[in-house]
Amino acid sequence: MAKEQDDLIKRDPAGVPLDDSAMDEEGVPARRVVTVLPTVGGDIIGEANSLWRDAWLRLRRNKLAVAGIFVLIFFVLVAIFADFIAQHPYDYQFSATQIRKEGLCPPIPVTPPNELPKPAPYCSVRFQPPSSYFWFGTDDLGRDVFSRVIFGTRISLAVGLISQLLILLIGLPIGLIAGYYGKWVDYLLMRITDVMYAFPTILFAIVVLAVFGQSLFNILLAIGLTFWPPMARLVRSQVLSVREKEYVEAARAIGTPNRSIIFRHILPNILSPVIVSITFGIPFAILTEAFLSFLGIGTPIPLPSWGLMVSDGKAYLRTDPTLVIFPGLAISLVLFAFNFFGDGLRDALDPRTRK
Amino acid sequence: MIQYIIRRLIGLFFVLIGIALLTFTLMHLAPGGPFSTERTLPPETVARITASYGLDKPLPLQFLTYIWNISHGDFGISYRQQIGAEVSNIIFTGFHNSLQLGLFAFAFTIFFGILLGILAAIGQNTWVDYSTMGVSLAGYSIPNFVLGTLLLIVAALVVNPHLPANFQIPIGGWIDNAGIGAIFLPTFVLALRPTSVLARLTRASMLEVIRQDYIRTAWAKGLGERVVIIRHALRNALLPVVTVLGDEMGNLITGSIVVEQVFVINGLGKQFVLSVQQLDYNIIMGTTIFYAFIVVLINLAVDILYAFIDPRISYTKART
Repeated sequence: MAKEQDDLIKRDPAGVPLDDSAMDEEGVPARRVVTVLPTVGGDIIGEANSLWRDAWLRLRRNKLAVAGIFVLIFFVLVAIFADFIAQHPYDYQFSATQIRKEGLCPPIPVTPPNELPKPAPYCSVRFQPPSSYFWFGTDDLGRDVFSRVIFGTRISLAVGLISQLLILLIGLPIGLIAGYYGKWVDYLLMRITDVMYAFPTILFAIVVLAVFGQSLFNILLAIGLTFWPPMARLVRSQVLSVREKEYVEAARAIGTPNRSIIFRHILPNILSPVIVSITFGIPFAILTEAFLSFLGIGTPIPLPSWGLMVSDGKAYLRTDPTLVIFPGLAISLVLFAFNFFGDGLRDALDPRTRK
Repeated sequence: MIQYIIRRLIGLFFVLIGIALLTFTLMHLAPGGPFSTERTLPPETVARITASYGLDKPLPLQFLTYIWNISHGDFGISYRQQIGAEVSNIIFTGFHNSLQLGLFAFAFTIFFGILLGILAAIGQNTWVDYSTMGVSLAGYSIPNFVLGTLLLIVAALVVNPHLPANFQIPIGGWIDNAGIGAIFLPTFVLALRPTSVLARLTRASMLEVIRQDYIRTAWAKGLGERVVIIRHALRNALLPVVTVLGDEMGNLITGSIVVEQVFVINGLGKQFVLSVQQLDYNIIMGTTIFYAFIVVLINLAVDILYAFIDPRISYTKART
């Protein structure tokens, strides 16, 4: 009995026997080791794993999530290598002479001597249909739509990721402090959070943008300042449930300082819902940026925000719907991918919701 | 229960004051003011205008005056629209359309969201489930302004394939000037996202409930499918659904800003964007407080509703 307990203690927390190859002289295993084989969806997957590895294995089985990951990798690559993929600058307005040279307009006929020159045939750089020179055609100002969509990837992804970082920077400490210290600190912080939570979200973002002016940085600021309360509430509620667990009590009993309890014991245990929330927050931030740009108060011109492109193209819907379709498709695809990935991640990190 | 509601209402009051203070501070941080124009006005004129609107007083005093006024139902007048236009009138005219749109969308959301969720749960892993969930993921991912914009042109072409170049969108505008047919597209576009959320949530919640013992008992007793699903399963499955209703209703209200822009509906959202750009202080304040008031009321209503649906929840006991 004592030996068995000893064995159990020597196993590492994830359940892997520390040393099951040790034999005594007769070739019998020196210790009886209880091996619990971890399973995923009823299948034994071999050695025990850390939470993250388990989650990754579960995620990998979710076809939609994997598809989402691939699409996301694709878009990240596009954003990184935008300079190489886009054939033209995103804000360059082409001239008729240039596209004539590319053979997109009928050439100016050579006037024979002694004749008056005929007027050059009509040639417009606006609303060029897709061609090998302009893959997605040109917009109402004679700019290359393909290049704009490609560079737009940068704006969307940057807004999505950085704004979530900002939300984390504001919401996480507030939630941690409120949840851990409780009492009046909690009360004060949560009343502030309540005010922000009740603020109709888009309205606040609009006001912030109006106050600080239109720029990419201010969009980040607006999104960050608007959407931190749900994060703070999530973190707080998680801390409240973890705070009373035995291991935290034990840590406190042996005199661990508060800071290490928060960072070494509490934070790692509330991480999965936070990660899931961030994963869903990214597409929401991207959507919000597109929203604000669509209203004409977000990304300033001539930056190639997808929302701005849809808004600009709306006026020419009848004559050239591609101006709306291409950026609209790009943004929908990114949001799709993030949502698929987020769904998969949530199921993977929280086995209780597994189907 | 009543005690709880009173406590919440008091809290709600302070939340609204907080929101007003925040908006007020932000608004006055913005460079310029409602009377900054392209033309430079003589300084005496500017001074006279600001004085006549009381904008020359110290800001804290202005804020207190404002709060005092709105507590008497006076939301002030607009600085930029027609002279002396009452903000309360502007808000209520705009809100008339926004509210109709919001209510239609909310009804659509509740009906189709829950219906699709139930159907998907009953037919788990069949084509019904997959197609419902596929559509709902699409509805969740396609931004409503993209969908709305594209549907506009499709609808316009269906209504009249030979549109003149300077066509007027026949489904633009709202009921008052475009007829009852104008409600379909904006309602659908606005409701699609919350409907998707609701459908997915209802499905997940139903699946959890359906596997419980009392449902098996109900089946075993030989009860009909309708009774088991609706009377036994749905009632419990709806609990988590109700909690998101408040948030979704709030999203509907703010989401309508974009839909109003797409479908050229003269609603409160459009009004708000305009007033922010013009720094029309009273409209910004009035609209924000008004929206916030609705949002907090909805949240309170949901919490109370929750206690009614789930008898296990009691607000009268001290909460731990």
